[in-house]
Amino acid sequence: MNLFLKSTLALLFFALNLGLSAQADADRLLGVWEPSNGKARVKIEKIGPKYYGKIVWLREPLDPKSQQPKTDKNNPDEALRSVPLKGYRLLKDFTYSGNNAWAEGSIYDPENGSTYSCTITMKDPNTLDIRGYIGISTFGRTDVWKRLQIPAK
Amino acid sequence: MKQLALFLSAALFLTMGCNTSSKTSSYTLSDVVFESAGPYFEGANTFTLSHTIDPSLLADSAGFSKERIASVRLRSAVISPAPGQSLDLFRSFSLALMGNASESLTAAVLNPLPANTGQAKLGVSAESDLKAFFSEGTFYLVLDADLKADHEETLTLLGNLVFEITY
Repeated sequence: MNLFLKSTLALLFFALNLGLSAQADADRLLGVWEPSNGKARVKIEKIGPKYYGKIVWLREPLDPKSQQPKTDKNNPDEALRSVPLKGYRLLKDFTYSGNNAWAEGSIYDPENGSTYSCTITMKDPNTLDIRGYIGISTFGRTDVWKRLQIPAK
Repeated sequence: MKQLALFLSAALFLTMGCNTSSKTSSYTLSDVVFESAGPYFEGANTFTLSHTIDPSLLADSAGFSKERIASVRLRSAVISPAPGQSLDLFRSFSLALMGNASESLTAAVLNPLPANTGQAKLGVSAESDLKAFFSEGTFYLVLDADLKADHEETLTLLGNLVFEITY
């Protein structure tokens, strides 16, 4: 094998490893997370190249008035107000931007029907800073989410 | 003279408005398969389908260029079970579209699912404009199916979707 071929193969191997490592970095976001208020648990999953978070557990799953499962009753689109809150995708369209951060996504607040721009920063493997904002990131609010530890069977 | 000019301008504006009347065509997906690997857990489970269209070809068949696509709306969405399976396992369905470049949108929902039904006819959102997904070419149709209980065997759901394209 000549030197050129060896160098090319080594470069290809390096590039492949780099790609796999970036993918693994990005996928650390996957899992079930709990916001600081403890009212819900959110499962972050990957669909295509993006990350989405849906509600999988609610501390109070029933509407206090109707005693029926809560729905997205504040959605600005009337046709979608019957979407169940349990299962609702409130984190949408995040892509990994490197340095433990996921950006270009949005977060939906079902309590007022508003959607905010959002960035996610992983402080450590079990802690996320979720920052929702309008316009520029300076004017926003950060909530700390903790990874739900699922005991091994 | 000034009044005549104003009158001619208004007439020209009205004529142009009449010439730009919109036209619609429909795009149908029949018995497309929503897949998800089991086991499934009680609650919302995600069934996905990747779909690719050629927006130029689609617009061309209606006699337009793809740049003339003004809006795309979901007109109907019907979900049915694969042969031998039942919809009685489910409480509700909601359907969203996701794309690599476009922001995801919820397009239809049915909650609760009527008992003993063979088909679920979802209520569609008149506000969700899906043009961006059609312009992208490849997008994901994501069906969130709310299961009443844990389920082991693989489930398959079939979708019949009709989109209305306005030019």
